[in-house]
Amino acid sequence: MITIKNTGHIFSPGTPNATIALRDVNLQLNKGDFVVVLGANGSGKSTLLNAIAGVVIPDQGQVIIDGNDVSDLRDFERSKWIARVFQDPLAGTAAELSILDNLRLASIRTQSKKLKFGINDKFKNQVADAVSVLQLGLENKLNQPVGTLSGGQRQALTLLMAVMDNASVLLMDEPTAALDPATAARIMQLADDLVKKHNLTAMLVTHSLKDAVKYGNRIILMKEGAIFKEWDKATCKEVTVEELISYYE
Amino acid sequence: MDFYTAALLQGLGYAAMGLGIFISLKIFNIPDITTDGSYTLGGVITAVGLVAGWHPLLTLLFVIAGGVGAGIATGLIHTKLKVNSLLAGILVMTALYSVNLGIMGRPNIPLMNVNSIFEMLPSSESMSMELIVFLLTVFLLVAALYYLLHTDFGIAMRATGNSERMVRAMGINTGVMMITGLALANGLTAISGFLLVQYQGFADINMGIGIVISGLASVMIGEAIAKMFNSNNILLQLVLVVAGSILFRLILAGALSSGLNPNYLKLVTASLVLVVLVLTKFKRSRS
Repeated sequence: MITIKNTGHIFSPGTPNATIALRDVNLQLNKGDFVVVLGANGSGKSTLLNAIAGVVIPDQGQVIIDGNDVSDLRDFERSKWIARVFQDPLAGTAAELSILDNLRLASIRTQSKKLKFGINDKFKNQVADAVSVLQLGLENKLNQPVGTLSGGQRQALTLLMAVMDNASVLLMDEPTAALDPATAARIMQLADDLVKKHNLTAMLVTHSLKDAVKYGNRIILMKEGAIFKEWDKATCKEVTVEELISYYE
Repeated sequence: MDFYTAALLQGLGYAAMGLGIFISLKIFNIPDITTDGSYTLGGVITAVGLVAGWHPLLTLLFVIAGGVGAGIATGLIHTKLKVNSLLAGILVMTALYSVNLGIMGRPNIPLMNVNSIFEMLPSSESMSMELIVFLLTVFLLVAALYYLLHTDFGIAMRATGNSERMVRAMGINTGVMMITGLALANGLTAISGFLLVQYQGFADINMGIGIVISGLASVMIGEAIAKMFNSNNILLQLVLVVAGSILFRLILAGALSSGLNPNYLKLVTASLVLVVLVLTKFKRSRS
């Protein structure tokens, strides 16, 4: 569960370029929530996501995850609770490392990285089983550098990596924006499956209103750094793409 | 001693530095110019320590500590003060010149009648003591790095140069990782200073000027050969850095023995590195 209290943030404060990115945002996300954040460019949705991830430390307010006040923790300190998927499909994996090495890191995301060997036969079998779920044939390429895979394959791996170690929150920042429509649909389906299977709290920032309607069980529309409108579990079922579009005009 | 045997020994002696550059350049994408200073620092500490009658292994500990300290300085300037990594290296290298001069008290210290690392093993008529010591050192360093880079910590380190965002999302402090990497790289470089000073029999304040290019050349030659094998095996890459270091010294020895004016040595070195760079289409872009 994530609670965001009175969170506000200004970029470049005190300069002519000062931009209010978040204004007094209050939000509570519960287990099993699939929250889709919509809004025009510059409306503050990515900043909201980054404030939860710890990439941006907001000027004011609190972020509480599972009862822990993480407001002062940086992104790598919040990885204990949070897994992330990026807009750039290549950013979530290390290109020169093998699939095995990438998944090894993901499997100890919440733990310290010690001076011991973590990759043994048991781990290899576990990884082969895990990647076979993706049906991309990657289970036979575990020693291949991830850089040899396509963007779609890498984004699928990133999603899989997100749930390898005790994930509780999954943050996705336009994860399909750089992918072709068919691949994008597969990635979103995979994300939805994983969120349900692992009972995650998920937050998706997107411009795809179709995905918002299809996968979100809560939808938030942001305008000028504030939550402008929200559809809860009940109203979310009724909302249409056409209605959502009208808020962008 | 035979010209080419000397080149082989030098290549082995500089291999530790090559391995250090492998860490900073290949893993962290930083051409670390601190190398010039930390190599000299290693040599300077060696000369002062041995002349003072320290045990060679005790001296080695101080040498490594010195190199590690230099790397940490560059790492801190880069990650905490947000100074460009190349500039951070230049700053520390420049500062080290004074530090080195201060430690030595004069620009040059000859090693005469000192108990060096080469006297630690019982001497043998048939084998060069230098060769044994250098081979042993290189073997130990390659084995240690191979082990390190395959541990969970090592995987995290290798990932850091690939995608910083991914690594942070995996709960790794990239700043600390970069400082650790630079410390390791410069510790290795200082070991080369330790070996070479005892091999050549003196330490000189100018011994490190432009030495970073030898390390870069070793790594690039190694990478060029690795490409032929089309392999991303880490042991192979480490061994090829050592091979690259030896090959580089042999090429220089070949150039000199064929009558090259030694004044043009650095020009030839720079050209050689450029050629290898272009041949391997050295791409540092990765994501």
